[in-house]
Amino acid sequence: MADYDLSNVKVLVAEDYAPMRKLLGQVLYELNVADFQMVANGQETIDFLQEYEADLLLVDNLMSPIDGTELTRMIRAGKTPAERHVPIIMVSGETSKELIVGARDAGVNEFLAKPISTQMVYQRFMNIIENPRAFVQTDDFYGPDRRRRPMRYPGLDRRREAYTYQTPQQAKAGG
Amino acid sequence: MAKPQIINPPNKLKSKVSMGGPGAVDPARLARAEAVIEKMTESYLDWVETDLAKLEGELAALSPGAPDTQERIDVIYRAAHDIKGQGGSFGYHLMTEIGALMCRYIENMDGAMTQEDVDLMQLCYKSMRAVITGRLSGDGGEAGRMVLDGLGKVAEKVKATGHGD
Repeated sequence: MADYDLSNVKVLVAEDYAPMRKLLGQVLYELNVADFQMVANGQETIDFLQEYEADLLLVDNLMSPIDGTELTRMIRAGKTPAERHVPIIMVSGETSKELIVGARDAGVNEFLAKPISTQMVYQRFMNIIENPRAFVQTDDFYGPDRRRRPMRYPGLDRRREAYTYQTPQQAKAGG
Repeated sequence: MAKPQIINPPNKLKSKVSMGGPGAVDPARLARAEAVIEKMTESYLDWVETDLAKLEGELAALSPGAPDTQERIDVIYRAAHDIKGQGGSFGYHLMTEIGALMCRYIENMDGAMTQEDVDLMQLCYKSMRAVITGRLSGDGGEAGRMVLDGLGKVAEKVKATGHGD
């Protein structure tokens, strides 16, 4: 495991549950992140980003107003003051397939299931530092490439050939 | 549909970190960090009391057919969700397990809430209370197994809906 010094990294945490904010704050402090800020929902995140240039966001999903998935979608769409490609780690107690797929389709970089540990948080930081995913821009998506790794496929790679991505909705509809 | 574009944004995070040095996250720092988090367990026991009190109050006020049922269920769900989310971080894995079960149960409730629903949610609450009162951290040993066994009916109903994962 690489030993990174995170002391120059700026992190914004969006979490509505005060004890979890304390826990995440302690984790970041222990990871030597010198500059981190806390907000309680998606709207506060957007307001805060007017003045705070975060290098990375840790966002809960279940928040109001504006949950983590919607916040991610807005950031990727350029509807917030944040850079569109700012890394986003979703930290959620909800781990249903629907939520994870929804978060991925909204454009999160990493997903972290609660309960968390310091090591788990650091691992997600490392993934973003060491294995950054390219971003994909389509008509209806802007975000990290949803294919984690290039898949080995023995036949013709039609995606590479034609570069025609399908949204999950289109795929489901057989389009 | 336009062709997708592949964009490689600058890795700003990487540009702001360095390797090694006294401030780096090495195995020793990670171990210290985990130890500090473990010491927060006393705080956790205070925090979870607040959630349990909220659950207790809302469950006591739940009444099938009452107009405020959905609002109360929402508060109960949030409390169970929060309990699920933090228990394991402090070694209380049973709280995470029971919180998850309670969330699944509520998610799968369809139609009007019945007295059985209230009773089974109460059972989840009482099981959580038993875990905290008995300080059943980790898997809770024999007592932990008994607590989980007591939730068999909740688990069966969740499983029967086909959304037990």
